[in-house]
Amino acid sequence: MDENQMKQEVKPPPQVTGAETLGKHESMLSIILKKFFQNKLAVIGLIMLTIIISSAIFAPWLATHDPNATSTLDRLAPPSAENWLGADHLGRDIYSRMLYAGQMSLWVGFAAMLSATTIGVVVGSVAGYFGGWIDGVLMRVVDIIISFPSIFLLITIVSVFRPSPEMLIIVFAILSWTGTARIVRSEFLSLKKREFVLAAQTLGLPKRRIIFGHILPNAIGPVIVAATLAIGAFIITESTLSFLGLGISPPTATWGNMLSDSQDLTVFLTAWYYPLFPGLMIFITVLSFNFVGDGLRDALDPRVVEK
Amino acid sequence: MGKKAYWLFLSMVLALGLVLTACNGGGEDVDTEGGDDADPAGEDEGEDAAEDENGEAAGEPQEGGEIIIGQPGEPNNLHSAYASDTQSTDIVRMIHAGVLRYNEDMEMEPDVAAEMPEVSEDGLTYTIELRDDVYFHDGEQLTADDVVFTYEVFLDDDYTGNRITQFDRVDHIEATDEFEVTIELSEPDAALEASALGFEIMPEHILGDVAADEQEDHEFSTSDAVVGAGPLQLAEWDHGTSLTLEAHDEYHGEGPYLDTVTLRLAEDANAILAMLQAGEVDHANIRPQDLETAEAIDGVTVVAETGYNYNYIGWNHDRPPFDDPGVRRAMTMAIDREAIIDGVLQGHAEIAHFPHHPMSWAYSDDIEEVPYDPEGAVELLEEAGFEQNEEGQMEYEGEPFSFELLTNQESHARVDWVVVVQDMLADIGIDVQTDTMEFGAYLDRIQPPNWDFDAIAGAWSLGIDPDPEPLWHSDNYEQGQNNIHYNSEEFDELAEDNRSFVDQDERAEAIQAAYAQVTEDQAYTFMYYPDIHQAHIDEIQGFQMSPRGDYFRIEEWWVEEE
Amino acid sequence: MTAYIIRRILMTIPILIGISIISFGIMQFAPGEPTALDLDPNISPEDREAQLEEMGLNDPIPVQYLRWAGNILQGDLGSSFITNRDVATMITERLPNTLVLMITSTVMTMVVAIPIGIVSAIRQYSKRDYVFTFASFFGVSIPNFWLGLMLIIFLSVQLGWFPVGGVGTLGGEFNLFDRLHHLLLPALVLATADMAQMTRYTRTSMLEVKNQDYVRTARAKGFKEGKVVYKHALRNALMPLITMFGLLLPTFIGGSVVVEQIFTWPGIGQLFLDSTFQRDYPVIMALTMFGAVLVVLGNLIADILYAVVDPRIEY
Repeated sequence: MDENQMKQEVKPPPQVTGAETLGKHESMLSIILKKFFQNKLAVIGLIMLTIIISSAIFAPWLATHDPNATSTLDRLAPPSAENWLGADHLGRDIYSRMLYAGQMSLWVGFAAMLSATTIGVVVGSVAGYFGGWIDGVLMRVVDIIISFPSIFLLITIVSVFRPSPEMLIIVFAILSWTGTARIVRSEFLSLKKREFVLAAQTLGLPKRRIIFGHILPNAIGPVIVAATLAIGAFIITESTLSFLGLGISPPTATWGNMLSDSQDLTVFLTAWYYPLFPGLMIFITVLSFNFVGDGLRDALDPRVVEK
Repeated sequence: MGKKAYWLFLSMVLALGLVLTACNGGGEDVDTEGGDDADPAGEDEGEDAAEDENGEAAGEPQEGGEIIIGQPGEPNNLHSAYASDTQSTDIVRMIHAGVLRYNEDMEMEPDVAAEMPEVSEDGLTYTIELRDDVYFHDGEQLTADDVVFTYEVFLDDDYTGNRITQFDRVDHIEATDEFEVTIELSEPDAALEASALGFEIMPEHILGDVAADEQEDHEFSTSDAVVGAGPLQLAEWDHGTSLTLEAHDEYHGEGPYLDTVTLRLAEDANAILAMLQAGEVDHANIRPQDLETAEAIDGVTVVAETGYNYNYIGWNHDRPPFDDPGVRRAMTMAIDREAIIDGVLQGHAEIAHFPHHPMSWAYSDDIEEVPYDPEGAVELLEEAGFEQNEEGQMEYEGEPFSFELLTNQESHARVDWVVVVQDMLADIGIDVQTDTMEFGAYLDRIQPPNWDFDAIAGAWSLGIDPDPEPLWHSDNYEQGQNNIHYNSEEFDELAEDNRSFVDQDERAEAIQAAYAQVTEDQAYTFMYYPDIHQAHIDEIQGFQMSPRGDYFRIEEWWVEEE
Repeated sequence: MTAYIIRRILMTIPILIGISIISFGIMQFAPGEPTALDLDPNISPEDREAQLEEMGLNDPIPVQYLRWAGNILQGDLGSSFITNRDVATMITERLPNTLVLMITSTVMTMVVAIPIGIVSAIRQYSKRDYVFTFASFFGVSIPNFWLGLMLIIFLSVQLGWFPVGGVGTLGGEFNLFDRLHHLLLPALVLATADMAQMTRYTRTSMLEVKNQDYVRTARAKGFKEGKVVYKHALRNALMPLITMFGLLLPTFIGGSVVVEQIFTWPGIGQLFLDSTFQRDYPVIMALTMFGAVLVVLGNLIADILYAVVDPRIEY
């Protein structure tokens, strides 16, 4: 989605000094793009994500059924002209439901990623730029959150509050910003002593501009990679929570609750299509995010030499 | 596996477990053990004909052998006065023995008692003769003192368990002889035998010096230190893994034939089914949707019974429009219960019209059955002032008819039918939001003092005594189980003091009249009585099943050696 | 070095305090009485109040926290609301099962991930690298409950190769083979995601080291490639993996919740899940706390080890 947009902002990585940067801006970007597109898996991932995301966006036009319409006569009906991918245990059309489920799953994934990344970037920048006791306090908070096996906290929080989509997004964000914060902070620590930052400080630019205008763009590479991988992880976590009975309440469809509804010995043995399709959907989506994330990592990392 | 893994609660059993818990949370006095010595309401129609499996035909019981049972969750307490969830009560019934016990027809019969209690003319004095051949697992004899001791726990001011109402008409209890107990009541209580006298007897020689409120946490109640007079004794409790029970050689009744019964803990219904299929367990409860899978396993027989519980939708009578009986009736008419039973439960349930179980002596066929009739429902709603707008949306003075239907997530079947109900009501233009909550949070929202719901989808596990007051008497609103606030003077009058009718026919009449009022007012929309299923390997003989879905008369099961 | 270790240990104290506050705090936000499951709506509000009072739930929250934290410091984790059993006992009787599972998974992860990661790095962009890369992505992308259930259905139920669940055959004597037989599938499922991550990590780490000066020097000096890889590159590449294990610890503990559930494995993950559904707060708080402390200790040990092993670290 907004990867391209974000990529525009990618400035040269730290090894290149400020002066050289200006002149080579375009070429750096094109090198990154070139590296990315050389990676076959990353390209496959990008194509698949494009298809999956558009299918979710265009769900209302692509769906053949109301995703929540039950039809007790069609219980676990096999794939047919009527139900392309079969029907679930309440006779709902799996194909249509999967399209709408995609909206919810991707929304949860993206929204949680954006929130977590925002928190992480802000905290990491502040800690890294100011250092001292601010850094000390913020990093202890990170240490504390990172120490909890996050599934324990997730289960506790979600079982205590009602698992609505917004709730899940908030909880995911609160528990997942720490990685980004650490990345950004360490980039800041190494960047803030560099010439271009010192120059900006000497010129008396306001701190906010230095942080967000000068240092951050240089640290954005690893953040984008982490964010891409995080979406996949959120989708998996959502499905795991559903499996444990703590996911988004029915009848709202998510890939996670569709898959976990089908996790039943009898269903596996008699209606293979029900667990298969939502499972594949999660699998392919997460796989694609990983491909893209890995491709971005290589492309954005100057140390990875071209083939 | 079951997504609502919880385990605890996946399956039907699990559902059942919850139901019971619901009752506990809701006070087991509706429910609880015990029945009444009355004529049975007849056999239920368990499908899948497993009757022929029932022992006798296969020859003489053989001593010895062991079986492994898939047990959906760990018991919490082994003291009869404190056990409240199904996992616990099922196991308590194997380890301990009560004065009376229920039989397969849900009637009471003597267990530790030599015969049914002798009741005085005025219904105020119960004299119980005990058998003189009953021994606890440690060899001590069970006497009248143990019975008095056990019942007095319930009467103790310090008693912290849930069952107080069962004993609220008991004035005092006395051991009038070594094997004779006399109970004096303050007013007649027709429910006494089916409720109070069903509680299992605890050994005074072990717990006699322990204060009533400390017995709950005592190692007796929470470990394999437990001692009872039941057919099986707890030999080992490997927490999280299994409980091993061994035969009590001096058991006073028939059996036990099995040497060892191992309860293998598996909270997940899928895991239990897989174990059954892989031959790792010999007996298990089966969810309706797994029936075909279980029946297809070689060497396994599945037995069915109508469960002693029902599912319902409770309408909050304090929130318009559900204060209007016409609207509630319209809701019932708009819901195709037959389709729900066929689709969600694969036909393994029976529509409920009556607020108690068909097997109970208080049941009557002569009760109004509200049919599925969506057009009729629309008409009723129009009479109540609703109208459908151009888009088919039901409106009341311009406001769309919209409400929230709340349920707990642990019962798969219920979560599923709630979604179907939502869809059915949408067909007549009613917008239903559903919310599925974790059980504790759910109870907290619906019970006093919060009453924060429009409608709830729930289930009650039924008591053998059919007293209608706890659920519907208006006195039980502020505290009690009438959380929907059914407030009918007619009902209150009809139901009051049904417990005082010593004559069962008179009492049945009073109860039926009260229940007819509940049905007329559609205080609940009664959904169905689900079937329960248990599977066991063919080698198990003498198998019996009760509508409770517990390990009924396990002392009479035996294993056929090849 | 000693100073570093002491400083590192002191640093964990505020973290532990923070962890305890969060573990305790979450329960305070919980809507509803923790005793909801246990309380009879038939009892009067006064009796209900008395019960809350007796359980100490009416005291101000800081008082409750201090009491709880004080008890924990003395090793008293309280007793379960539901079963009334001692929480410390409940944890210790299940802990060995979880540890066995975690250690086995860790070993599996190392045995599989490190060699594959190294091969991938040495033969970067080879066919083998692509296959391994793909396989490791496969591992992180599949929901492990789905994988677990499929393995049970096909390998245990259909083929009968493995038991369906549990730590061992019931009733039998202890039998190592039987234990391993029960252990294999759950440990494999638990290890899947981490194997994948670890492979990626080893690969990246190897790639980085491979191109560093001292390795090039070694190569230039005419050492055989194998020796270069194993003697010089590998040692340095594996150092960061120590830290990596510290980071993986929480995922193992977290993963145990799902795996134990699927394989009816009586460990702390299962206990945790049971407790959340029953709102058994003393157990939930103790386990959350326990899990976090385990992670803190794991990281502490990893950091200290790292400091001991890697001479480049400054104190």
